[in-house]
Amino acid sequence: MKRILGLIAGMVFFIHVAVPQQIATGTQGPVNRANGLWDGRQETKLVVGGYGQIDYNQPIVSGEFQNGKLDVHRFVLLFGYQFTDKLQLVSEIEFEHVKEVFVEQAFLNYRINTGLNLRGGLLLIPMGIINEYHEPPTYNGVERPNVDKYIVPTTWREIGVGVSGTILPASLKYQAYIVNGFKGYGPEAQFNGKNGLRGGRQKGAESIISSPNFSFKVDYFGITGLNIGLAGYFGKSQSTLYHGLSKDDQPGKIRADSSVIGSSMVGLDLRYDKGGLQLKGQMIYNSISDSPEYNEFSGSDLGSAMIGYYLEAGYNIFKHVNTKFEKLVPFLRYEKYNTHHAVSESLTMNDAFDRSDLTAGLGFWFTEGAVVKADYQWFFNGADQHAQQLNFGIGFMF
Amino acid sequence: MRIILNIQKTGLLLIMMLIFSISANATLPEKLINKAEKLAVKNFKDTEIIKEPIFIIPSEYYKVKTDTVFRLNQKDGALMGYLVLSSAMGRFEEFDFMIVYNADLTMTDLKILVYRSEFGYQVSSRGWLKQFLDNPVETQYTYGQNIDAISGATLSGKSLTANVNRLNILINTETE
Repeated sequence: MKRILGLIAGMVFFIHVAVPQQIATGTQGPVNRANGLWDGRQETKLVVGGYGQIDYNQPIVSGEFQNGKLDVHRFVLLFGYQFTDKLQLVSEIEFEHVKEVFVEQAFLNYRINTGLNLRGGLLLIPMGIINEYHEPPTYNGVERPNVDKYIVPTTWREIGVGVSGTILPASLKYQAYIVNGFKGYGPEAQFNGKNGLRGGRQKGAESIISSPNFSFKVDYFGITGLNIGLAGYFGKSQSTLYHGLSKDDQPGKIRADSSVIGSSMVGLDLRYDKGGLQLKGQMIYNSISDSPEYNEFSGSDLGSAMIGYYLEAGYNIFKHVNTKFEKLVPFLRYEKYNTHHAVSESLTMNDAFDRSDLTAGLGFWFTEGAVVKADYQWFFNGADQHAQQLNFGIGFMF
Repeated sequence: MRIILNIQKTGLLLIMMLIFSISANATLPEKLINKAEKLAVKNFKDTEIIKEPIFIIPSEYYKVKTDTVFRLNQKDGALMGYLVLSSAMGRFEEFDFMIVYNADLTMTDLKILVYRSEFGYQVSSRGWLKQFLDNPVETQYTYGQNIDAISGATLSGKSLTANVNRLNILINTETE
């Protein structure tokens, strides 16, 4: 027996000196939450996270009383499940204004290697910064930029399949997806002049498809502190009027075609951090085809081109202060967005849709995942109307 | 009788240890090691390098199981440096990286080998990683202070910084 034990001990010893050692003494702290990378990730297959924001918005109108609004604007729970080292589920369940429930993302990701992932399900459309990076501690200001509401209809997600990957030696990340498009019509017009395409988002809720849309984004991060993104989104909107239509029904087909627009959206965004300085900017242009036919058919007032951009500068004061807290960032953001950048001849341009916002505020980050924010916003438009609002917010992610 | 039982128990334990040793090590991807080795060798021009796995004593401080350390030798056995393979946690997913130290324990190379998450990939930017290079092994870093913050990759950046600090201490104290 002793001989056998000696042999086994010898074998164990032999293996320990013959192969590289991994120090195996358990896990510690959040840094190693999903430890076990090289031994099959057996420890934590389920990952739970979340984020949320609770806002107080106070409109300011001189000579008038105004009620403030207090709102659990969003509360989102994230569940990830690692089936194998390669196969993963990513999902987010969102409660908006407490009472509305949405699925914000839900997709399976199969990682072939760092450079190539296959994925399918309910996907975020990569356009601009906020649609993908929408956790409140990742941006300045209580509310998301309005460019990311009216031009990029954040949170914009549709069902589809595609590829993504990070090419490390080239400092490039890419994503390319085929998804269902906006529902532009059914049972009535879903697009309009004020909100652009926002009303047509299908959000994965019994979505319809009459023609597929294509979405891509490439990010370059080869210059220290700088991330530049270029995104494109192309396709026709979807319409319920094609459903059940006979393929020989020419008048019906013309009618259905009139309920559809084409969208060619391109977006450029950049994020730059240097020392305590934080710069962000993005520009989105959306060229819309067949808007005259759409407007005539549906009685809507959709523009034929939309544009939106913003520039934001912030500075982390705690860069120079010895403190246990994370960041204190005053910031200034200027936005311009116009859903009637161009209109067809048959439509009168509405100057009130040519909007610009100025936001000045302060954010205090206790830690990376918990922030309190305060800001003041001035809203202007081309029709010489303006409004002001004071915001306070609590944001978190974990 | 009891003694025999104990011996059997001990034997079982040893067999389990053996199985664990094999499985824990066998799954370290050969491809990854080879890739890291190729990249590491580039740090020592015109020198033929032979990598040699080394044994590091686990201590309370280093509660990570994914460090793999190689001694990089010249053909005659002279020490040229060390290659470390490890991994760090981003917000939800780990990424793998390699570090090369030269014989003076100055960090000469730091590269991300595998990045799994959709977010925080900016840590793999060579320009950002350069901040860690050519510094002595005694250096300890603070993210946002002597290491620049990196937009979009705060959690991965912090995690990598913490792991570089940890590995600097490990290499400094555990190598002769």
